Amino acid sequence: MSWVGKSPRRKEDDRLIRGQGLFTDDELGEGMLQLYILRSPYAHAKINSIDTSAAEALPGVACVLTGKDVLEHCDPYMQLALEPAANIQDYPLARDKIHFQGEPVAAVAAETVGLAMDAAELIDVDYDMLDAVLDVEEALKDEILVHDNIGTNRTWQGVYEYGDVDKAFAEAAHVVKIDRLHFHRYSSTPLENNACVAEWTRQGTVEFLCNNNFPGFAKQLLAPGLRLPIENVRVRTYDVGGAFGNKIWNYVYMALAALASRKTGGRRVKWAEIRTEHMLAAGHGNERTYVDTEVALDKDGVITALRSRHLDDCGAYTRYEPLGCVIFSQVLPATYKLRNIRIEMNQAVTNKCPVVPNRGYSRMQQLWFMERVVDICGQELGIPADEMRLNNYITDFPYETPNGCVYDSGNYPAMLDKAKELLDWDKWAAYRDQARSEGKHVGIGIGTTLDSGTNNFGQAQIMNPHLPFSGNSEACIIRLDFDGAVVVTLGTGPSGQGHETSASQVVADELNIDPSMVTVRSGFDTNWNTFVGHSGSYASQFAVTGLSAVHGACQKLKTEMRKLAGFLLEAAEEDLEFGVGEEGPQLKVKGTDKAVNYWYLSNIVNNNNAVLQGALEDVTLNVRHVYRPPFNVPDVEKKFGNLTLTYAAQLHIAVVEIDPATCRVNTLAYAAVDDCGTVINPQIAHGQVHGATVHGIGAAIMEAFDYDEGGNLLTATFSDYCPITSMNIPDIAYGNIETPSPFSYNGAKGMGEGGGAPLHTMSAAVQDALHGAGVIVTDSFVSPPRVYELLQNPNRETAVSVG
Amino acid sequence: MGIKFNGEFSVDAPRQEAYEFLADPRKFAPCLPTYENLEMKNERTGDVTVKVGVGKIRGSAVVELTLKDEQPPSRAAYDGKGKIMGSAFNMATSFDLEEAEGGGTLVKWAGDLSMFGKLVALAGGLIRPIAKKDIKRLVDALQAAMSTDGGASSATG
Amino acid sequence: MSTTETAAQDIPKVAVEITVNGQSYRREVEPRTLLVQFIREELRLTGTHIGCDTTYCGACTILLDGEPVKSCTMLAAQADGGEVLTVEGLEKDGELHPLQTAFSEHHGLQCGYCTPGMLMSSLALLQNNASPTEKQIRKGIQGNLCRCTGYHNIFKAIEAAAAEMRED
Repeated sequence: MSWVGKSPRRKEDDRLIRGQGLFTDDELGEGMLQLYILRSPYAHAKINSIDTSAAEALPGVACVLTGKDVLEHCDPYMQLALEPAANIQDYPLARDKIHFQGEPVAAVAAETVGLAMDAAELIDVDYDMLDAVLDVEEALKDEILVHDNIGTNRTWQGVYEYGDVDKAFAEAAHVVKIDRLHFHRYSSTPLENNACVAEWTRQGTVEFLCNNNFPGFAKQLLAPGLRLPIENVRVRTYDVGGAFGNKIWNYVYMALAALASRKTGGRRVKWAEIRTEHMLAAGHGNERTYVDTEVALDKDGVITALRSRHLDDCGAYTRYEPLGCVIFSQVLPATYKLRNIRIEMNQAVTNKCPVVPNRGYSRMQQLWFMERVVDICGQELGIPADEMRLNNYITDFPYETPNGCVYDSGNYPAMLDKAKELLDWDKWAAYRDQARSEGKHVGIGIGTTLDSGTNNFGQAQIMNPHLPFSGNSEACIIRLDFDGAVVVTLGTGPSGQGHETSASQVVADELNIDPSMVTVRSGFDTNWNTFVGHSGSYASQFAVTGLSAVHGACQKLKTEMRKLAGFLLEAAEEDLEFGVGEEGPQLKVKGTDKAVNYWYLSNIVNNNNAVLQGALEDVTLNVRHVYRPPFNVPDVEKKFGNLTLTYAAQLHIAVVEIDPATCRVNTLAYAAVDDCGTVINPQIAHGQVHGATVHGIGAAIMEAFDYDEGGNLLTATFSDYCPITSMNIPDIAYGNIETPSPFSYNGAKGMGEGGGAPLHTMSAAVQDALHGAGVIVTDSFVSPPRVYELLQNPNRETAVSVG
Repeated sequence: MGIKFNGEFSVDAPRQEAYEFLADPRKFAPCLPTYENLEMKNERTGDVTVKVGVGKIRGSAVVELTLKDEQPPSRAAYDGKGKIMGSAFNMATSFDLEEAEGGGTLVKWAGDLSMFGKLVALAGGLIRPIAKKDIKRLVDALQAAMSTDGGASSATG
Repeated sequence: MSTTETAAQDIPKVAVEITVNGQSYRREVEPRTLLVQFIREELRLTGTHIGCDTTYCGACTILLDGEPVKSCTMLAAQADGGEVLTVEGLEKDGELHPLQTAFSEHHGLQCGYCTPGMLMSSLALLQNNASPTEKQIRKGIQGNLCRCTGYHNIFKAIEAAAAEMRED
């Protein structure tokens, strides 16, 4: 009986359907203070003075923090960037200048949130407004500086060049030039906002309960930021209400709760972000502009070369950036076999919210770009979208890309066939042609995408050769408790992906028991010692890193159990079999009724060890395993190396009709095919695909962070941002194929991010619908106002040229 | 978000007299709609307290008003900044005075209001009509204050 | 600002009496206390969540006198004398409500943050319509955001629970 490949009911559900989860804001406690953060209304301003006296005098206020406290007790957070961007002074509170609307200026801890808010209104901040720079191209001119001390807004520049680009252009049958493309700002806005509870103990340690989704990393930045040894910072999570990457740098704000606790003599302080704060300041996805794009093709429409300049807008602080300037190159050629590529990657700070990794982080920006390139070339050369793809898809695996990434496995043509079948392609193609003859705008779009998983952190060295990061790892501890219970501790800090369930399936298979007999601890805790620097839920890697760690720990535990049982039963280890007997999980001598159960084994080691008479000293029944994927350090000069271990793929097709009156993009049919290698839990994998698909559709047609010319975020509430609801989603026909990864022990590929497939697909479908009207879709956001604008001002003449 | 307004109105008062009125925060400020109080910090700068609000949400806002440009008797201009409900606003107001045909003064005014923060997201669409209404009230008050017969001159804006 | 003129602590507290999940509670609260704060902080029933500040997300949905209400948009004082049902009140005598079982079986939840509000809206829907069509289900939960599941499995769960409840 194998549990892997099945969908047992999730362990997590038992508490969550009863309302008995423990999300950070659910932590209540007598005497806990509530923190409220006062934020700047300006995008760019000088702070002349801050008067907190009235706020401090308000009864119920325990303390007020300003930039002064931060300067006294904190060091600026370490930046990943090279100099000069490395010198950006990133503190939990603004000191003398505001860099984006929503930047924290002061924080109040009070007995209730209401009082803290009242007090914040009494803080008098005198600002002098400065002109803001809100556009990446403007920012790169360095006329207005976001951070004066670094002397430039540019945070990164590098050229990714492979093959012989100039020769390929010289020999091309067609050269297509695309003026400008733009990937818009949005984020997945998890339903649970950022939150933490902090306590600065009398022993000088800080205890955090929080919802950070990369706690191994957060701890390494938070501790030095608070001037503490790393061991003195405990980071704990329990239930996390969605993250999608967005909770990676909430440590920046977590420090404020710690400082308030310190200032109030160690009282526990809770900070629960409000939705508007989240929209303003918790991080937006990377916004990217692509200019001077030129594509060389042969006479059959096979792309032979590409050159382009990409401008990434990272908002006011770098934080996790400029990693996005390298991460995109995990999927540099997307799913296509071109070998000659030159992309100049640039990034700059602007007076907007700092960016944060968001589901499909930096790769989907590249994949959207490549899909736009393929579709625009196809449309202009009169080659249908499906044919264009079949002409260009990579078909032999493992495939080494021009920059040294190894695509483990895949079958894109088979995915296209499957998606067409699910959609009923011929029916919709006929419908489209009929509708067009009646003057309607109907289009069919294909989006092929990759979800590269399990990062090689060595790619950070391409961004900054001084960074001491490479490889990847994840940890797992498995032990038998006093009562013989199998207890598994993960380092992965999940946020809804069902790690407790999937891990129990793997353990159940290894020990030949039922998943219900496996206890997987919920959440994450640095005090459990089950973490490494890479621990966390990000970059589509649990099925590989997390489960490989679980699998490895099982092997170690089984070895110990066999030794111990063999000793006790006086049997050869190879004669023992794992299973379940009348007294629960056990090891048994094959073909006999001689067996020993887990309680007995555990008790011998933990309570009754004289029985062993000094034998088996190395058996502890409490084992830790760290999985390390087989990576090399990339060649930093050539920007060459394998940057991710696995490449899950998605292929989506949408049929859309543009409402002529409202310019709304109505989805008439939608098919999504997924390939994440061997599937561990079909229900969970399917759920991830659905979730990622709906996120992407929302991002394509509804969700955008729009700033006005003064740097005001105009979509700072859910009511303005309008996250996608049950009324806005199409029926999605789902299917999958399995091309097992040769690089993971279980054939699985990390998945869940979905590669932004719907953005590519919806852009393609809208373009197909409007191409006859002279429209090229150049922006990833196709909301009704944008579509209206395109129809009013058809852009084909200026957006694209064919030579 | 930014809102630019401009218009003109005429008053009976001669130009010098109108100028002296408009260039003196002590005389000018009380004409602001919902004016409550003025506290002068120096000859050119004062904190004006006004009542503000939409619907049932009411409060006071303090506007720091500075006489920025004075060219007697033809021009007076103010810069203002203030905050309200977690948001901030900056405004620039200027008055250019010309002698009107047949006596009195023609006042050409311009206002540039910039709003920042929560209010823009929450009530951005409401601000323009409210600002428009308040400017009309201000113009009416200025006309009334500078006219010997208590108002009733022509205004456009 | 108005808050300086009348500090919150000077405003007399109001007494409210609300029945929650069958048990009556009497508390003195600040007049500005929201119903969701009352439920979470006063009664420590933290299954009801807060996800936004503009009544958009529905994570705080409860039933008040049988009707679904976003409890972040109502003062506790307005619910005085009312009967509230929260997610914690769905399980009866150790038996999960069919909706709870169906959400788990059909993977209608991932992170679980929206689930309590989603369950309460679903319950209100099914109380008014024992056999909703998919369109009616979509409409019934249109005020509840889920950022994880893409809704599809939630529709399936509600359909399954409706079938189960019709049999009972």
